[in-house]
Amino acid sequence: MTEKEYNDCVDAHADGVFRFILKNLQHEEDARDIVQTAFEKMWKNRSSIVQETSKSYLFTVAYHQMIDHIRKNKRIQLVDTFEEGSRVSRGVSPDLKQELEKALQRLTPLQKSLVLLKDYEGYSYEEIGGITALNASQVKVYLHRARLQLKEYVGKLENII
Amino acid sequence: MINLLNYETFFLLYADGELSPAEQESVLEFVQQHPSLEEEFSLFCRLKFNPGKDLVKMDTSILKKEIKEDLETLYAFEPDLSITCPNKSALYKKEKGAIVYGFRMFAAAAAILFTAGILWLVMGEKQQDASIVQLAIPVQQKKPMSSNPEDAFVSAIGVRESNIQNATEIQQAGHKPNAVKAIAAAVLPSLIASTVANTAALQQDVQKENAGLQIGEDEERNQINIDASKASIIDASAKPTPRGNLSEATLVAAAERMAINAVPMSSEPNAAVLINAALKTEKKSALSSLIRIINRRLLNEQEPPADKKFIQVANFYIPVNK
Repeated sequence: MTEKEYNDCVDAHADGVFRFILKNLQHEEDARDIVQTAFEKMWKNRSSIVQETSKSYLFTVAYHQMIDHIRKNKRIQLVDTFEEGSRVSRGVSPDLKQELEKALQRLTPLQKSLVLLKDYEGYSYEEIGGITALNASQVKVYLHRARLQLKEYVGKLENII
Repeated sequence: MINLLNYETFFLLYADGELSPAEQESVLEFVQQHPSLEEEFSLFCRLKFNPGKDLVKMDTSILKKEIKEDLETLYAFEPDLSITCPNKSALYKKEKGAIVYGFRMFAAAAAILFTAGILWLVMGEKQQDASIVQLAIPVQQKKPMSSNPEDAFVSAIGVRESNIQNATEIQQAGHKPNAVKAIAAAVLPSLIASTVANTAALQQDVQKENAGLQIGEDEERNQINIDASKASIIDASAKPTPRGNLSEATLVAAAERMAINAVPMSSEPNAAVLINAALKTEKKSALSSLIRIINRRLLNEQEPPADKKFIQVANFYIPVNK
């Protein structure tokens, strides 16, 4: 990989990696650090990386960096901080997008990553398995469980509303 | 095939986009056939996250690397082949191989001639007069060992003198070692009986003679200087007259050794050892004499005077059969 090819990868994939990490961590500075670390690692190993596989390489490195960051800091609160009553009493308009965002934060880091990799980047089960070190069947099962949880949470909300 | 037991899985696969176009058609038909499931199907389709446009974007300028210019490619020069060196012919040099080659040929020819000369001389020595001078080697009667050491010295010296005289005559006649063997078979027993002196001293003499006459003579002179009393006894009793080119000191030293080691032998000396030693001495003396002749001729040396001519001390020639 030449310098020009590396810079082309920055233009093509930096936003996607940043978005993916930011959605998971909900912290811009941490996401920026992880993305920068991923690109630095790709620069160091540029002699063994081709441009066609640079995207999956970046997401793989960023994902593992994110998991390590979560385990160290445990910033993400997985506990439900919202009560159903409060939601109804405040009379929040059923903004599905916002609810989905909230529901997404209720998922585990792995489930969240699977959903985002599938919806944001359009990876297949096999590609997601390569990034997260899972096989395709595991990705399918975990992803379906995550969507059912989202459906259950949003469904309850819609029923209430 | 989608049915009421597995429709949820198909709805999720449809939402993930993992179904083929035919399978998607079947799912849509199933939903149309079951209107109660339409709301659930739509919910699955809406539970998808789309990348928002209002998300914060990362500053990618800190990620990019500066592209370094390839200086070797941008600032490269090509040689101008139109420029040539003037008077190139004046720079040529001739190799000195002819002179070296001629010298080597001369040296090789000289080496070949030298080797041929050596071989001619050696072959001439071998093809020398085959007739052996039949010299009667005097049979020395065994004299009884007396207690008087002076008598023992005299007898030992007498035996040595006769043996040295015979050895000189045989060498001058140019006898061949192989022809001497025949004579040795006839006179060997009597010769052994005549040697009363210590056989060990004789073997030592043979070994010293093989090493070189000069060294042996120096050692003999040293021994004479150390023990003057023994020399006076020998002079008073025997007064050996030098035979051939032997010096008086040489004879004194030889007699001294024999007197010191004058121990009666319990067994007869090993004749085979003596014969072999004599043969080896004979061969080496012929070769050494040849080398001396060549060295004198090459170096234009003069022949040494007769009184200072080197000769092996106490070297007796035993004629043996070939």
